Amino acid sequence: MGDIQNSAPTFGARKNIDPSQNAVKRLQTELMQLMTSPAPGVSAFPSADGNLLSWRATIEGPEDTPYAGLTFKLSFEFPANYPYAPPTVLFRTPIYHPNVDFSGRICLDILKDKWTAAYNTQTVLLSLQSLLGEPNNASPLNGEAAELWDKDPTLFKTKVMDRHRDIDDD
Amino acid sequence: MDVFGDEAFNVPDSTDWLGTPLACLMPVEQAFRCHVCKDFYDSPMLTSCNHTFCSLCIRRCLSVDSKCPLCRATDQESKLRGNWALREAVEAFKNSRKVLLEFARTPPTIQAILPDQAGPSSPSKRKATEMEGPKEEDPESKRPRRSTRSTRARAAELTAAILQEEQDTTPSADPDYVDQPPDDGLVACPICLTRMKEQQVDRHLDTSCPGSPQAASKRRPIPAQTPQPSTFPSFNTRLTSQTNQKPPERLPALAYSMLRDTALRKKLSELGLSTHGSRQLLEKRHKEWITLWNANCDSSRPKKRSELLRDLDEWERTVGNPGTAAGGGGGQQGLGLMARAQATGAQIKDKEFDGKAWATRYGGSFGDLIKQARQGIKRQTLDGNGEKADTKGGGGGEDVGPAELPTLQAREGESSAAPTRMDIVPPSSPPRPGQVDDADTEHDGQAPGKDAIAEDTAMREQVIPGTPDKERQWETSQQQQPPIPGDAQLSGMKKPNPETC
Repeated sequence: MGDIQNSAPTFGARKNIDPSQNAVKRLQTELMQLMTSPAPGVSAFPSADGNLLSWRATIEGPEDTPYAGLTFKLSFEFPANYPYAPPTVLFRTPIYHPNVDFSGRICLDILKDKWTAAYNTQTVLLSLQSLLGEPNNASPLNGEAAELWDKDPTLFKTKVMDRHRDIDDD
Repeated sequence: MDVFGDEAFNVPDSTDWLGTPLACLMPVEQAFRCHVCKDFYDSPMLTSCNHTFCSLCIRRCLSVDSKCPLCRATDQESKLRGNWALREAVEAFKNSRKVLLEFARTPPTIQAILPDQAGPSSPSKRKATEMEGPKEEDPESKRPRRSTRSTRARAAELTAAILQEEQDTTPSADPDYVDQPPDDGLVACPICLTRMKEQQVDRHLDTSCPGSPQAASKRRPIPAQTPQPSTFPSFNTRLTSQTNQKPPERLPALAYSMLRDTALRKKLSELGLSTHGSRQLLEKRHKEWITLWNANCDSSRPKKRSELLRDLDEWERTVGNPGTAAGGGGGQQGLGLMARAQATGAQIKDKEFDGKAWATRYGGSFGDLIKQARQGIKRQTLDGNGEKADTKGGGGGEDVGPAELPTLQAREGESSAAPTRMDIVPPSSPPRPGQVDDADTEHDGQAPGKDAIAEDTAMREQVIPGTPDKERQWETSQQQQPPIPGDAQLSGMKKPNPETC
């Protein structure tokens, strides 16, 4: 953290923060919203390299789900034509979930064909948070997890805990 | 945490009201902001499903999937209708926002201002003082009493006072509000304000009333009741500007599938647009121009054609290129590179991706990057910033722009003795590579390094758009490969490799 703070002035001058760029402008507004009126259990912030098109986010596992008490880190990569196209969202924290594969890729309609420009980082995070408790087992990326979800909740929980690992922040 | 400098955080948004006595204005401001761009509505348009968006925003959305972003109802651009009442409301709010916010944020100083503004010229204030006691007691003398209360309460009270003030002064046409009626037993004509006996009013109205309060000389001198310019944005000019202005003609959409390349090029050149690029790009350019143009037609203050061309140019540099998911570039060169980056991005994410081959193939480029990064670090170390080299290296380079010295140095110094690879990763391991490592090992070793590579490529792609301001600049930076900031360089070096090289 110390490093990042020390280097703040140079990063601040980075040209990536060009408000004339629509995507960046919108992300700045989103950032303000997220910082000043955060939603419980989710947070997001641009990654430390000063590129506003690349964010890091966290989701806290909802209560009464196998993920309760766990924190998950994610990465958001926003396209230049955001919000007309969805961000690419990945779980960086290893997660055992029917709709997330072992590389952290997520199967969620609103990140694909159901995306609309009215969504934002916060709504995506909240959707992902609810996806943790209500997986779509009909189209799993992790077949085993989808099966265990109903068949053996205890084993599912064990697998979740086995897989989860706190990763270094950046 | 101020990694992004002030400009990233000084974006006005609705949460500015939070923590002020006017927090209730947050939802008000939110209602004035577009759901797509999150900015204030710019030429708001109503959809068939009664949702409102900026003209440009909804036109872009519809050109992507012909659906309302809020309810997914299908709609067409031709069915959009201007929401003029909202446009006025937004303008009015925007005009008063700064003052309101300043007021809300600095209650104590506002208090000092308030008596001046609302001084003797304010009828309601005077009325209040007259009723409360001796006339010479001016508002200043009450301050000590007030100041014993908490700032918040005071601010709230002031807010209420101001609001009251505004209410009082706004209906300036109503003679009752114009002045304290003199105690002469007469009443004022409701139209011309001439004072007369109550019984005379009816006849006066029927016969001799001049119709408007021009007979000011007959009245007691009245403090000027000029409405605040911000609250009354020149109604007349607004009307005339709408009627006098010949609105620019909207452009029809083209059925691109029906057009041959030459015909499309002709259309573009007729519009004065560039005819370079692939077929796909031509279509996109034309479409974007139509979107920009037609949205501009909805504006109350249409931009000049030259400004629109600048917008198109910016679009070309950032999003214009086919299938662009991320990044941007300038001119033809940039577009080509963009397409490549796009393709490789997809390739890397593919499950069958061959990391080893990738590493071999691009080993040379990575080598260059490594050397440059190394140079950067060396320089930093010489500057005495040794252990911060990782992050500083990132900012230092591109701070000054792509055509800047260190990059050149790096290239010249390519032949200089090369430290081992590990040297590049600074002692306090930089965030990105560290994290990348982690991700690799954590993800069950499946497709090792794939993510890291994907991520890094994504980064490279993203780094590009901000860098150039002008096409020419961009080209320069491209020649001086790479236009990638140091931080990306650092992670870029790891790209070919995690565990494979």
